[in-house]
Amino acid sequence: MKKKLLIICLFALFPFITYAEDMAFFRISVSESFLGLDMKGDDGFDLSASNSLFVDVGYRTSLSSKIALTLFYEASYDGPGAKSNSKEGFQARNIDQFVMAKFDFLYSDSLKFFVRPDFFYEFYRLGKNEAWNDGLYNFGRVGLSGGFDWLFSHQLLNASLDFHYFWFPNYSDLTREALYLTVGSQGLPSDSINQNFLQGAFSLSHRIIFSPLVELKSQYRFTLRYYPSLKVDTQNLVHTDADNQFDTTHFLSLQPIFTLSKEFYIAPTYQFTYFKSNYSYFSVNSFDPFNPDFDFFEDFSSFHSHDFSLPLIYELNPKHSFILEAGIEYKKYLSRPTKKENGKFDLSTKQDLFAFNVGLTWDFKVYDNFTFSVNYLFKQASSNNKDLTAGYNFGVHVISMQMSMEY
Amino acid sequence: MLKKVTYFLCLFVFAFSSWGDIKDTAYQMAADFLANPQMFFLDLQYDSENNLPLMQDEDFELHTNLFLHLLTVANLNVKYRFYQGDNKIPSITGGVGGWYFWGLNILPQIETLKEAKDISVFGVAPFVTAHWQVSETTFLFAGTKLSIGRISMDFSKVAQEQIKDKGLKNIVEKVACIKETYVDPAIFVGIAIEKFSLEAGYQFFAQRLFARFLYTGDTWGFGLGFYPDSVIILHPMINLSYRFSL
Repeated sequence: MKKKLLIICLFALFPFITYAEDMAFFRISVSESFLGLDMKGDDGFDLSASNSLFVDVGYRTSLSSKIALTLFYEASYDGPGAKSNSKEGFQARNIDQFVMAKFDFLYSDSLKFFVRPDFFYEFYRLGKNEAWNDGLYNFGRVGLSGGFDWLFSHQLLNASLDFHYFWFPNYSDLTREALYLTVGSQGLPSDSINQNFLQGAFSLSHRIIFSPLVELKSQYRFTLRYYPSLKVDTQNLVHTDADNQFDTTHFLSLQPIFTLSKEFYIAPTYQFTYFKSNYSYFSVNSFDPFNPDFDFFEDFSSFHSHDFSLPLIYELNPKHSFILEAGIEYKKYLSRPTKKENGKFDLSTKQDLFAFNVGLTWDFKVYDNFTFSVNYLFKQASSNNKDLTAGYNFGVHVISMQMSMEY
Repeated sequence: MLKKVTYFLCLFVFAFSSWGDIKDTAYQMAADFLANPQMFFLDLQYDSENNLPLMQDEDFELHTNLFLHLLTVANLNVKYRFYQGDNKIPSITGGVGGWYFWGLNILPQIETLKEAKDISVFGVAPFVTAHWQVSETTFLFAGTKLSIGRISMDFSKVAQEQIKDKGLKNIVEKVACIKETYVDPAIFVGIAIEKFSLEAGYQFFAQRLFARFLYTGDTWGFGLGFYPDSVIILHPMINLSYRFSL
């Protein structure tokens, strides 16, 4: 998703480019990553590899002196790499297809409006016998965005509204259906587990150049998701008493950029996320209708998180650049209890997560439009969740190599 | 020269990292191949074909992947530049690649597999590629191909009479007799910068993405195939090409 945003930004970075010239963009990128995962409680490293492939094609043309059209398509793949960590020979993998058309209306030299319909579909395979079309977690997204870019006195202000519909054509939840049939007093209508949702978002981003050496980028985004069919669970397991699920997210990002010299600059970044959902969770220990054993938790997924990263970018020469990056992440659930070593919930403590990472990237421009990159990342994550099977406490070393050609 | 050696070392570090697991998971992979022969066929097809456009001065090219010959897969590609384009119209290259897995015919020489019959695995892939020169050193290309393959093997007698090993018998019995023809169209796009190229495509019926990174010299070429949905994901290539004009 990050790469997709980067490409969209590539076009957005030149919002006031002359409308007379057509522009094409083409990029292919392949990468292979090797992971050494050290899960707390396990002996030794679990070695695995992943592989990704991106194909981006974009074209921008002028429909008139005031209107430009940008077409963009991306196909991507993420999945297991050269060395699979699965003895059964299968790891989850996905193919994504993304297409958009962006219409830019140049109102004046400093103000531009845009409308952007887009479509996204993800094929997700979880098992060897699962066909791409039948993936349980396949999903699609279709929608429309609109907004404006306003350029004034060394500042760029962007505001946009997005409306999208997400659908999951194959999703089913047999565990939840079984829970309502065996423990609850009534079954669950199939529509009540339909995960499809509507999403609306408002985004405001601002970039100000204080001096040739200092600038500041900031962004705020509010997202609302409403599930027209999906009911949240209630403790009595009566779906007619339940509300529809809805989620809200507030996201804030601040990134000052300091150019310390011609070759060296730093871009510390702070990101804050506040996620609130009425999703509730049943942890079923026994389906026995005469002696059901389960735990019920309201507000299970709401959290706030703080991420801080400090990338130091050093451009040795036009061919070689290095990025040293360190970051910390902190996430605290508002109501989710943590777990004890035996896997039982500890109701006295809310779950939190802390992670630290450090990485080094070497970008080598073989030619102007052919880049070879090597990246090393170390991440250490810890949580007050003492259940080691939950996978919250680990250290991981990742070495990635990427080749990218673009025009 | 040092640069080239560095590139090739990188390629082989990529490629041979995959071989370590092969021994341990050989049975699993054999079962995967037999359970999904179409994937096996497509892997060989990708390794053997070369649908890069002819960007050099010559009009014809003969091409073969020597690495596949080592694995007893005979293969040859022939391509011809039908049209030399100009600033507005792209150049058009067309051709066909074919391969035949002759090494499988040796299987009946093995005592336990002597009752194996009708072993024949081969494929052809005609293609058309259009390319545009967008700068002095950079070409963009796009094309389509049709992958056609035939996999035929009959191990039913072997499974019934010869194989005593339970594990192997289970695998072989499951797919004792395969006689299938595959036809699968695909599209591909790519970019070539100097002698390096990166190509990606999508196989419609199999719903597979594939990619290839190639270095194409005057005679020798080296490459690495990325076939993400395959049993072996990275495939090294050692190519030999001969170009000429009539």
